Amino acid sequence: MYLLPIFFMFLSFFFTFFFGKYIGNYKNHLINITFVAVSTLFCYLIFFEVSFLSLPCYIKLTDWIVFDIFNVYWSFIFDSLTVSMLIVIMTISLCAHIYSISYMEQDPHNVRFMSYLSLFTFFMLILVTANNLIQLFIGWEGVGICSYLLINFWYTRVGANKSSIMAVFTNKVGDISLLFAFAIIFQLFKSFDFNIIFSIVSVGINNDYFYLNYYICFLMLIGAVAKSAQVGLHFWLPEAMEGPTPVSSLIHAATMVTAGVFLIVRSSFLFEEIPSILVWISFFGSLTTFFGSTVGLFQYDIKKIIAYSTCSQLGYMFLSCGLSSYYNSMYHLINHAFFKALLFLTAGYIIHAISNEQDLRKMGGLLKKLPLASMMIFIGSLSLMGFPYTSGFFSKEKIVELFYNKLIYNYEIIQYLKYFYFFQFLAMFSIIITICYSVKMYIYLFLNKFNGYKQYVFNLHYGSFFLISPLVFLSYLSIISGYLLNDLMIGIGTDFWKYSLFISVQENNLFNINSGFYLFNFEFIKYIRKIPLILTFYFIFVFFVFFYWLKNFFLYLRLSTNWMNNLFIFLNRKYLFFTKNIIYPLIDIMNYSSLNYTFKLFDKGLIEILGPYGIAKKTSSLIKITSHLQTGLIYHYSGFIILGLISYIFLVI
Amino acid sequence: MLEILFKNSFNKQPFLLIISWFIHFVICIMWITYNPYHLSFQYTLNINFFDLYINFGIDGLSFFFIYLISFLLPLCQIHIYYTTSSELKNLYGLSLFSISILLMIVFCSLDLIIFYIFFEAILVPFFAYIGISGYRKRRIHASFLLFFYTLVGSLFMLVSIFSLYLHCGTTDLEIVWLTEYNLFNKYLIWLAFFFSFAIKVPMFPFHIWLPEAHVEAPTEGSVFLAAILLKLGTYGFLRFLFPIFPDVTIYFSPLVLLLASLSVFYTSLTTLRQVDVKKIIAYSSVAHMNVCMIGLFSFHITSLNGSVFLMLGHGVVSSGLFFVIGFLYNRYYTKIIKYYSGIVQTMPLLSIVFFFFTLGNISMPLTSNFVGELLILIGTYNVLNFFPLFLVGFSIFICSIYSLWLYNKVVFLMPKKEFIKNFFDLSFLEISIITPLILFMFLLGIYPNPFFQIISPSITYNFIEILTY
Repeated sequence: MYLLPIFFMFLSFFFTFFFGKYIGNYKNHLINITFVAVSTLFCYLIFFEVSFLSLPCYIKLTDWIVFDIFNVYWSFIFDSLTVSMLIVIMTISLCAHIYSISYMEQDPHNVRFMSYLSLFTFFMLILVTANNLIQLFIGWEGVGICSYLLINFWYTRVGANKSSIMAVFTNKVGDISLLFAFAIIFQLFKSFDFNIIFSIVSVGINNDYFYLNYYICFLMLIGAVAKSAQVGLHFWLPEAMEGPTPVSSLIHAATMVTAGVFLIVRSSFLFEEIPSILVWISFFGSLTTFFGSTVGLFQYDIKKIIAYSTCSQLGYMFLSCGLSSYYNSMYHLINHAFFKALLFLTAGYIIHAISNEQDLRKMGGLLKKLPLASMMIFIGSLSLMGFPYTSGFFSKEKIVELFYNKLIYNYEIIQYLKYFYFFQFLAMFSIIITICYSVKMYIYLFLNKFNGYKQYVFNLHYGSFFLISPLVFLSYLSIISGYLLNDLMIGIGTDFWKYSLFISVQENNLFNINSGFYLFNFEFIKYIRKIPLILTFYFIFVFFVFFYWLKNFFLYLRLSTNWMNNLFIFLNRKYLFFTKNIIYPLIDIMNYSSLNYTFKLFDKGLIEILGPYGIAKKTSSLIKITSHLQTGLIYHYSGFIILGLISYIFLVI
Repeated sequence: MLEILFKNSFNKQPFLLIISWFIHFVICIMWITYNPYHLSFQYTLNINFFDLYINFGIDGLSFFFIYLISFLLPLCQIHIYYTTSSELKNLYGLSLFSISILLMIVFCSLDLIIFYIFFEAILVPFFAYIGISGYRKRRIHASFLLFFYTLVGSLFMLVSIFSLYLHCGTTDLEIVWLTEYNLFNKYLIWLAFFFSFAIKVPMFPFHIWLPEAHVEAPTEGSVFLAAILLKLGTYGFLRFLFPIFPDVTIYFSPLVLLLASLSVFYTSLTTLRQVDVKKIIAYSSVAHMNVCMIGLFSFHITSLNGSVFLMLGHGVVSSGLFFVIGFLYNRYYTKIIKYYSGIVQTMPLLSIVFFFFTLGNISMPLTSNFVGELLILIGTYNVLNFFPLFLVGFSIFICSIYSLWLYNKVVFLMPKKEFIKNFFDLSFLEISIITPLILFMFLLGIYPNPFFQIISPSITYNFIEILTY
């Protein structure tokens, strides 16, 4: 039963890809959705069996690369971490499949689109169920390739081609650093199995090479940064919004971009050994939250706003890992997947409705025309903002509160304390900005006057049942998922996670009333608990006032001084330096050197001159010189003979 | 009967095809009956001719190259069957057949002189093949380049074989392996061998014959050149230099590593700016072969296995890519990227096939090249060769750039209607050529264990001296 979801997803891809075009859209969609739904059902069964009945499962199929000392097997693991990812992936995949029946209705290649979605889900399942790093890498690369295919789905558009190639290249940087990490792991542990690596790390064998752990973690972190679009290697994610919207929701919000977080959580035992790498993770996380939210505030493309918001939320997940609370990161991942998928799908619904217009400034006043969409965006935004008792509230505020926990208990990081204050500031500040852009987006979409063209309203296109039902389902989930999973996943003393990820000793000791730390636990200090709640209410009100009644305030602010205008441009153009523009000079250097140095100077220059061409030319001129010696006169020849004789005699003597 | 056979008007193609299928069948049976626990040579053949004792045999190092030849030969024969004009059909088929028979003898031979003779003899049909079948005047230049580069290298090898013969009194490989060398000129002998094999690989300063030959050769010629002929160089290192002079090999390994890393860096960069599809694949195969060289000269058990496996995988992937380009060339008679665009709309099947092989070229997991490159990276790191390691990583990165760029340019975007007038997708014969290659590529990536079972013991057995040096 455990391998059936993976098998069914592959069948779904295989059938749709090879036979889908022969049987027509209706039958094809029916079969495809059936496969996905059955697979989802099995995933829920597995979730029930593994997590509630406490039966983690390990399956070893057969050997993959086995010779000498190198052993890699096809093996699968189903522990709490895996199954909690499984339900997220399959739920959102099912929603995206159903949604795209209606969304891609007009597209002649919708069968191919469905097959790519299934293939992506298959690779994602391989990624989360892998029991060794090499098998994880299959999923890691496979989702990258599927992302390439799906971004480039409308392949006649130049923009789609450019951004898909950009996505692959940026991910390739991470992939190569991950490959290097594998090389070091093999030297240290002589195995790639998670259980072997983590048991060796936990025991802490004294090895001369044990300092290499730091490099392993750092290289894996770079891989995760590239995959999860953290600051520095993030520019592919907003570009990837060229693809169809179900792709953005499934791949670039819920599942593929969280693969980096998953890798860190999966190898949490490894990361936990080195406190300084945790500072790096928190660094990337907090900077990305700040960066993503501030840039997202100044964008006007609706999909790009949500993309930068995804960047920022991924930063929170990284931050939580950096504060060594991995289960919180997973919890936020699950909640975020639901409400961000909802936001993206609803954005797709709106874009679909008003003639594929994506610019926020050309929308407005859609409250009366698209009430359902306004409800969905409202729920998703509240969740994203962390409005009390929606899913974002439980997870995101918890992550910010973690700083207190970290700063009180953890003495190992005392030397990095000053950095953590900075990170805390960034995380707190971006909560406010998140509220700001969510309020702004809602007002621009629904409350302002309609600002677009007349044809948009005349040709208003409402979706079918297939378009709307996933939205409703996801909206329910994004309201209740936080409340449902709160006690299960991050409740005090929960044994949901078993040994699938690292749980710090302090967290376990919270139950121990004898320990004096009990009193200082922030969970029980009611003033601290209330701060984010009050902040949320306050800032929602403030920004609503600013964006709805004082519309021109920000415009006047921008135009008031030159400095303010420059700041606006700086943020609107994505901090100027963290865009794809930073890699253009590198590409120019590479192109210039490859044409002028390697090809012209060596290949068609030096090697040919010193090689075949040069020799051929030199021989012809040498032949002319030597042919002058052949004069046909006897005394010349006899002179040469005598010369040779004399030189021979001298040589002998 | 014989007269009819050798008459020019008689179409020998079906006959050759059946023979090559039969050879493939025989070698499949050899694979089944091969005993991986028997460490020395199997299926040996001893020829005692007066004073001459000549041995032939197969072990884990050479077996899969022979298998690859027999695997590719029927596919190439089918391709010749439906592409070439009727006058040249017999000539092409026969020359390809003779090339593959000679290659098999080279891989089987356990005698230095026999190896040398057949190593040289391959050049004759190949020279004629490229010289006749190209489509422009430059083919003469290319075939001369191929001929002279290889000839110059192997002349040095001939001299060093004589020198070895003077020392040992025989050229039988198993006796030569057992002989100890304390001569000073073993360094010179090694360098002479190295020069000959480095031209075949090809390494940095000696590589310019390869792109020329690839561009001018027809599809089947390119397939054989990339899949088998380049492997002769690396096979030579494995078969002769490593076991005969283990100490000298380690002495010269920094030089080889430097040259190989330079070639990886150099060819990866050069590929970025090529305009000819075949030249891109040719330069990329130079880069892959030099990654193999880095793997060989890291002297780690993992990287040695990975290297042999990458040779095999590259043989499949690059031949597939050359076939795909051949299919395109058969339709539009050009190899310049500029004229291609948006062929996915006219040829979806071809673009699927092309995508599979592009994935193979960028070493996507589940394809053959990934296993090889992963093992090479791991082995190279484990002996702490950071400079080559970095360059291998760099080459993987650049490889993904130019492969996907090529794929995007050729397959996606809007079709150029002024260049693409008439179109048809892959025919049944073309699908039957390309499908075995795809299946073989994925077999190598998903379940490579049957291959390692045969390769790994003989690597451990043959290079135990070098591995424990």
